[in-house]
Amino acid sequence: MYGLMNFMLFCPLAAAALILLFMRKRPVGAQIVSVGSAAACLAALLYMFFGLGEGAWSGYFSAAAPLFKLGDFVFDFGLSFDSLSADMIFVVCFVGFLIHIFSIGYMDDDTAKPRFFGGLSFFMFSMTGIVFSNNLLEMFVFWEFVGFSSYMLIAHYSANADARAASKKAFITNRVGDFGFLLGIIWCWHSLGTVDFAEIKTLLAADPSRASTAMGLLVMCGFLGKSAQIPLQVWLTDAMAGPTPVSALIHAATMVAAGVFMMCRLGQIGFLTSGVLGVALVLCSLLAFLAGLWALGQTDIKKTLAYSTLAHLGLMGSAVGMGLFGVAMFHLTMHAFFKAGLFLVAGSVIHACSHEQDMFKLGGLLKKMPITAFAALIFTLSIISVPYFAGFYSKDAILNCAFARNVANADTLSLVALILIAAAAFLTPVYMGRFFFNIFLGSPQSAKASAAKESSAWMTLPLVVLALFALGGAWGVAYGLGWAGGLMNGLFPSAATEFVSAAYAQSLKILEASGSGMHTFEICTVCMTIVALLLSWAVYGRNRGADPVEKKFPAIFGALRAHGWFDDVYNYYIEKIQQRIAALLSVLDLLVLHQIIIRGISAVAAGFGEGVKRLHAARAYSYTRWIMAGIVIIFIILIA
Amino acid sequence: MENVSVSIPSAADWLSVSAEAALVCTAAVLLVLKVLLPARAEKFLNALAVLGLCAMLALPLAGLSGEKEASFFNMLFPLPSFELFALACAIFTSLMAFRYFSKDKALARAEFFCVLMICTASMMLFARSINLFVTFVSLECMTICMYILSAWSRRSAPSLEAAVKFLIVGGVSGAMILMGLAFIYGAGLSCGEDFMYYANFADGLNSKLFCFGLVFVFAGLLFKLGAFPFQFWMPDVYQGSPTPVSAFLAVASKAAAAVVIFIMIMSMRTYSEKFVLALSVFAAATVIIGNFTALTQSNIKRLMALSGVSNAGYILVLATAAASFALDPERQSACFTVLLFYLVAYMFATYGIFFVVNSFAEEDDSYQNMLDYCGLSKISPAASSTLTINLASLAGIPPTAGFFGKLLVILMAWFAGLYWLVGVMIVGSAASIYYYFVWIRTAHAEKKGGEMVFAGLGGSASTVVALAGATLLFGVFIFSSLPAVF
Amino acid sequence: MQYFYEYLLTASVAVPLACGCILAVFPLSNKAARLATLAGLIIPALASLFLWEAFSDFRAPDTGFAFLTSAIYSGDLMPLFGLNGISLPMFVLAGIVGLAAGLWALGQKNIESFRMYAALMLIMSGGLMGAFASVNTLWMYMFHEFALVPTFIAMCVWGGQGRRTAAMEMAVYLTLGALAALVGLIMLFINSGSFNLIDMMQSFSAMPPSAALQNFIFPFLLFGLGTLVSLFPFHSWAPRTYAAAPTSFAMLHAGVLKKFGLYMLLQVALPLLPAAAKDWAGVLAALALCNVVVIGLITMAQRDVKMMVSYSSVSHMGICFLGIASMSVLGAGGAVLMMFGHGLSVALLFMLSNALVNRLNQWNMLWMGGVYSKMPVFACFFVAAILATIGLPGFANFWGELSVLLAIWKFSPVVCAVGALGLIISAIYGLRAVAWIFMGKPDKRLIEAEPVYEDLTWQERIPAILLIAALVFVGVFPDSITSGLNDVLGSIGAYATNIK
Repeated sequence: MYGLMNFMLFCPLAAAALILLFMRKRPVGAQIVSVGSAAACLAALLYMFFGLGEGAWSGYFSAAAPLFKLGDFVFDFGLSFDSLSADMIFVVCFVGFLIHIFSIGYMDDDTAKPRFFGGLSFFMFSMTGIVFSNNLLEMFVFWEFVGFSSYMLIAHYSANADARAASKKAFITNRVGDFGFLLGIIWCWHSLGTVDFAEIKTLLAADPSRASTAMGLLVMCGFLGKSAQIPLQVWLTDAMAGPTPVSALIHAATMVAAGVFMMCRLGQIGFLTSGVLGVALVLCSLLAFLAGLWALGQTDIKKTLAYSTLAHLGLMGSAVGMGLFGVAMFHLTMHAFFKAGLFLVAGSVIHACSHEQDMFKLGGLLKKMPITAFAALIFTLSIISVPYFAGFYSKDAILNCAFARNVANADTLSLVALILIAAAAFLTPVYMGRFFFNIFLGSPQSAKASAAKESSAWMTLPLVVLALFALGGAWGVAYGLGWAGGLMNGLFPSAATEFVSAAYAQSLKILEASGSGMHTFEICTVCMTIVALLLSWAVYGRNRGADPVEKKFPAIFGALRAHGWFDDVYNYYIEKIQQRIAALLSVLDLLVLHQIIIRGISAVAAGFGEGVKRLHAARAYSYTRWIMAGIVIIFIILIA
Repeated sequence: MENVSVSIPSAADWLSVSAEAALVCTAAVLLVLKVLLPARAEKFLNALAVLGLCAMLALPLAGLSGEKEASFFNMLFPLPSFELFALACAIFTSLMAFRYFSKDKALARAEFFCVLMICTASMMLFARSINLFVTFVSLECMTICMYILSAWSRRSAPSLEAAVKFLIVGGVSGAMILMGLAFIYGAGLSCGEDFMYYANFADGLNSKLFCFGLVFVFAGLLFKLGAFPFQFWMPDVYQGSPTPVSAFLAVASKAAAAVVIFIMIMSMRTYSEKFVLALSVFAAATVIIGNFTALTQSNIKRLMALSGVSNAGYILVLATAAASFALDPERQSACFTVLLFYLVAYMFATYGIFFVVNSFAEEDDSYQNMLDYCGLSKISPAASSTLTINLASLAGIPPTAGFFGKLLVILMAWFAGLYWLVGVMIVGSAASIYYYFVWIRTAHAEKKGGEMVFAGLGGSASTVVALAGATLLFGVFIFSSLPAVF
Repeated sequence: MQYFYEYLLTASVAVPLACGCILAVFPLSNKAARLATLAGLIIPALASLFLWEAFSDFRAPDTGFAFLTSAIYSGDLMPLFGLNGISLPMFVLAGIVGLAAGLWALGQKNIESFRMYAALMLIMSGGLMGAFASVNTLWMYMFHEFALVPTFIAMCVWGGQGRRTAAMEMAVYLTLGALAALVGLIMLFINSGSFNLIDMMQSFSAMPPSAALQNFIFPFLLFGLGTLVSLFPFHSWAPRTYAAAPTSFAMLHAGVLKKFGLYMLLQVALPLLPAAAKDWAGVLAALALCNVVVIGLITMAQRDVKMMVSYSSVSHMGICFLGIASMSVLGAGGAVLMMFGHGLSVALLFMLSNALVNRLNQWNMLWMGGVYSKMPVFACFFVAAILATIGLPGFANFWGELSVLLAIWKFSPVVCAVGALGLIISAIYGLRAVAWIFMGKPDKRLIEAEPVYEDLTWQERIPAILLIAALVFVGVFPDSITSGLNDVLGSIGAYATNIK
C-alpha cells in the first residue's frame, strides 16, 4: 500500500524532471512520458481500489518517514489514505488522465509542448501530494507547489501581456492566502503542539474547546486563497489566459477544489468551530450568488465558465459552512466532471474556430460539431440540475439541506444563506442557457465559426467519457448500483464513492426529518429551473451577434462586467498606495539616511579638517604662539 | 673650592656606548677621506658609509650581552632595542638617499651621511640617558643635525623654507626645555637632591618648582613627538625637506621622543597618576586633529606628516595608559614593549610608503599630489601593491602589523580603564580609513591625472618588497609570541 | 595519516591564500594563472564537502568542535581551526560559493589583468574559509577583514557604475562596524582571559559575567556585527556596494561575507552573553522587522535588476535576525539554515543578473521583455533562484523561514505576523521581476540598442548548476545540517529547547 502511494506521488515528479532535463527539444517524447505517468497513476489507483494485490484497501492507512527535526519541532513526511482522500484522488487521477489525453489534441500546434506537459506532470505530483499529506504543514508545502505549477502553466503563452499579468496575479493572490494559512499552522503548532491530523483528531475529540475560531479563520485563509473565495477570487477569472486544458484541470476540476478538500479534512477532525463554519457559509453563499450575476456580464466563453466555477465553489463552500462535508465532496466530484467537460467543450470549440473566444461571434455549431454539441448539451443539462442528471442530485442536495437548516433553526443566517443559494440555483440555467444557445444554436456569426469542423478523436473521446459521467455519475451514489462483486458502484469504483454515498444517505434522512414542506420545496426548485431556462431562451434565444442586455441596458451590463469592482479596488491599492509608499520609502532611504546623515557627517568632518588644515599653512611665529598656548594648557590641566 | 674629583669613565662605560662611538668615528673618518680623496670617489664614499652603518648593526647586538645597570656615572642605561631601531632607520634613509641623489648629482655629497650618522648617534644617547643634562645635550645635537639635513636640497625653495621654520620652532622648544632644566636644577638645589637624575624624579614631584620645570621639559618632548599644540610645524617641514629626511624625521625623531617620554613616565613610578588627565587630553586632541586634518589633504608629504601626527596621538594614548599603571610596574614594562612593537610596525609602513614617494622622476617631491598616483597599478604593479599593503597597515587592516599595533594599544588603554580614549581612537581610525583608502583608490584608478611621472622603483624595489613583506608577516609572528603582554 | 581531517581543514584555508599570493607575486602565463585559480578554489570546495560528510562521527562531545587542529600545532595565539554545528554549513557555503565565483570568472573572456582579479578573489575566499573555520575569535575577526581590501580594490578597478563612491562608503562603513565589534571582542577577551572560543565558553559558564556587564558588551557586538550584515539603520552601504562590485566579488560579499556578522553573533555573542541577548531581543526584533518590511517595500520600488537583488538580500537578513531574537534552538537553527540557503540563492542571482546586464547592457527591468524566448536556459536558472529566494519549498531557504517563523511566534505572535508579511512582499518583487524580464515583449528602446541575446555558455552553467544542486540537496535533505545544529544549539543553556 505504502509503496503504491509513493509510486503514485513520485511518478509524475519523475516524469516532470525527466522532461525538464532531457526532453526539452523532443515534444513527442514529453507527451508520451507525461501521459504515460498519468495513466500509470490511474492504473495504480484502480489496482489499489480493486484490491487485486495483497489485502484489499482497508478503510484507513498512514505511514511517515522522518524529514526535518530542529529543536522540538519535528516534521515527518507522512502519507495517509482514508475514504475522503479516496474520493478526491479518484477525481484527480481520472479527470487528470482524460485532460492529458485531450491536451494531446489541443496542443498539437503549440511550440512549447515539453514545458506544458512537464508542468502538467508537476501539477499532478503536487495535487496528489495535497490529497495524501497527513499533516497541515505538508499540505502547506504541496499548497505552494500547486500554486507554483498553476503560475507556470498560466504563463505558458509567455509572450502575450495578459498571461504575464495573470500568472503573477494568481501566484501573489495565492501567496496572500498562504500567508494566513501559514500563520494558522504556526498557531496550531503552538497551541495544540502538533500539526498531524490524526493527533489533532484525538486531541480535539478529548477536549473540543481547544479548537479556537481565530485559528480556524487563519487556516481558512488558505481555502479562500486557493479556492478563490470572496476577498481573493480575482485571480481565477484572469487565469483563463492560460491554455484551456490548464483551465479545465487546474481552474475547474482539481486545484480550486483542493481548498474544499482541506476544509472537509479539517471539518472531519473537528478543527473548524461553528464560528468558522458560519463565516464560510456567509462568504461562500454570497459569492455563489454574485458570481452567477457577474457571469451574465461576460462575452468570453472561458470567462463565463470561470464565473460559473466561482458560483459552484461558493455552493461547495456553503455546504461546508453548513457542516455537510460529505455533500460538499459529492458536489465537488460531480462538478469536477461536468465543469471539466464544459471547459473541454470550450477548448474544442476554440480550437475548431481558430482561437475565437467571444460567444457572440460563434453560433450554429450544432451541425458542424455534432459530438461536441451533444456533449455540451449533456453538461449544460447536468449543471442546471435537470432531474436524473448528475448535477441534479448534488446541487439539489445542497439546496434542500439549506432549506432543512432554515426550517430547523430558523435564524437569519440560514435564511440569508437559503435565499442566496436559491438565487444562485436560479441564475445557473440563465447563463448556461445563454452559453449554449449562442454557441450551438442559431447561425454562425463570423467566418471563423462557419469554417469550424469537428475536432480530432483525441479531443472528442474524453468529451464522450465525461458526458457519460455527467449523465450517470450520481446514480451509483444515489441508488447504490453495486456490480462486479461490489467492486464498482455505478460508474465509480465503490471505494471512491463510500464517503460520498454515506453522506448522501445521511442528508436524505435530514430532509425527511424536516417535515412535509420538503416535498413542496423540491417540486418548486424543479419548476424554478424550467422557468429560468425559458427566461434565458426569451432573452438570449435567437443569437443576434451581440448581447441583448448590453444593447438595451448598457449600464447594468457594465456593472455586471466589472464583477463587483474588486479588481479596480485592488489595482488602485497596488498602483496608488503600495507603489507610492515603496517609492517614497526608497527616496527617503536614499535622501535621509544616505545623503543627509552619512554625507552630512562626512561633510562636517571634512569641514573641520579643512579649517584646521588652514591653520597649518601659516608663518613660523604663529607656530611658536601655539607652543606657548600649549604650555599654558598643560598648566591649567595640572593645576585643575 | 675643594678639588673636584674628575673621574675618568671606565672601560665598561666605553663598551656600553660602543655603537654611538663607532658611528661618530666613522663619520669623522668619512669627513677626512672626503677631503683627501678626489671628487670622483664620492660615490665610493657614500657606499662605504652605508656599509659602515650595516656593520654597526652588530654592535648593539653584541652589546646585548652587556650588564643591565647604568653606565657612564649612571647617566646612561642600556637600551639595545632602540639602538637597533635607530640604526635601521638610518640605513633605510641612506638607501633612500642614494635613489634621491641619483636624480640631482650636485647634492650627492658624503657630508649627508656623516651628519646622518652623528644625528643617529645623538638620538641613541638621547633615548638612553637617565640624566636630564645628557638628555638635553643629545636632544640639541640631534635637532641641529636635522636642521642641516632638512635644508639639504639647497636649490629648492620649499626645502630652505622648511629648514628656517624648523630652526625657529626648534630653537624655541630647545630654549623652553633649558628653562625647565634650570627650574628643576634650582628645585634640586633647594632641597639638596640632584633632580637631574630620572631616578629621583619620584621624590621631586612634591615640590612645586620641580613640577613647573618638568612641564616645560614635557612640552619640549611633545614638540619633538608632534602632539597637538606643538605639531603645526610638521606639515611644512615634511613637505619642504628632501624625502629621505622627511622619512627620518617621521620615524626616528618621533620614536626617540616617544621612548624618552615613556622612560620619564616610568621613572616617576607612583606619582605618574597626576599626569594621566593632561596626557589623555593631549592624546585625544592629537588623534582628532591628526586624522581630521588629513581628510582633505591632497599633498602627499603633508598627508604623511598628518598621518604621523595621528600616530603620535596613538602613542600618547599608550603613554597615558602607561602613566595610569603607576602602581603596577610589570604592566608599565608591558606598555614599553607594546610601544616598541608599534614603532617598528610604524617604521615598516612609513618607510615603505616614502620609498614609493621617493621614486618619482622630478627631483622636488614637495608638490607631489594625490592625482600623480592615478593608474600607478598599471605603470608598476609592485609599487602599487606594496603601497596598498603599507597604507592598509597604517589604516589598521588586520593581516598587517599596524592592526596588531593598534589592537595592543586599545588593549592597554582598556586595561587602564580609559574607555573614552578608546572611543576617540575608534573614531580617529575610522576617519583615517578614508584618506588612506582614497590614496589606494587613486593608485588603482585607470585614468592618468597628475603631471608628475612615476620613474619606477629601480634599485629600491627589493627593499620596498622586503618592507611590505615585513609589514604583512611581522605582525602575525611577533604578535603570536607576545604572551607576556597579557 | 593520523590527523588527515585536521590537515585537510588547514589546507582548505591555506591553499587559496597560497595560490592568491603566488598569483600576485609571480608573473604566471594566462593558462598557468587559470590553473592556479582553479586549484585554489576546487580544493577548499571539495575539502568542505568531504568534511561535511565526515562531520557527524568526528564531533568531540565536550567541546562540540570537530577536527580541532590543536592536535597538529599549538600556539597560544596561532590560528586554531575547528568546525561545529553552526560553522560547518557556513564553511561549506563559503567553499561552494567561492568555487562558483571562481568558475564564473574563469568563464569570462573580457576580464583584463585576470591574474590580479584571480589573486584578489583567492585571498578573499581564503579569508572567508578561515573566518568560518577558526575557533580563535581574534583570528576569526582577522580572516574576515582579509576580504575588505581585495573587495575595495576589485570595485575600484573592475566595478560597475558608481563604484568609486560605493567602494569608499563600504570601506569606511565596514571598518566602523568591524572596529565596534572588535571592541566588543576585546571586552570578551578581558573578562574571559583568552581569545579561544572553547576557553571563553568554559570560563563564562564557570563564572558568568554580571547582567550589567553583559548589557554593556552586547550592544557593541550587536551593532558592530549588525553593520556588517546590513541591519536596518546601518544598511545603506550594502545595495550600492553589491550593485557596483564585479560579479565574483558581489557573489562572495553578498553571499558569504554578509553572513559572517550573523555567524559571529550566533557562535560568539549569544552563547557567551545570554542574559544580554534576551534583554536586547526586543530591539533586535523591531529592527529586523524594519529590515523585512521597510527594505522589502524599497525593493519593490527598484527598477534596476542588480539593485533589486541587492535590496532583496538586505531584506532577507531581517528573517535571520528574527531567528536570533527568538533565542531558541529552532530560531537559531532556522537562522543558520536561512543563511546557508540565502547565501547560495543570492550568489546565483548576482551571477545571473550580472550576466544579463552585461549581455543587454541595460539595467532597467521594465525595458527587458521576452528574454525567455531567446535565453531559455538562463530563464530556468533565474526563475529557480527567484523561487528559492521567495521561499518555495524544496529549497533550503524555505526550511529557514519556516523554522524562524515557528520560533518567533512564541516571542510574540504580532512579530511573527509582520515577519510573515515578508512572504508576500518577496513574492511580489520576485515575480514582478520575472514577469518584466522574461515575459511580454522587449521595449523598443532596448531593441534599438541591438542587445546580444546569447544564452549561458557552459562555463556559466556549471557554477549555476553547482549552486542549485546545493540548494536542492539541503532543501530535500535538511537533516544534513539540522543534525549538527541540534547538538550544538541544544548544548547551549541559553536557548529554550521546548517552546511549544
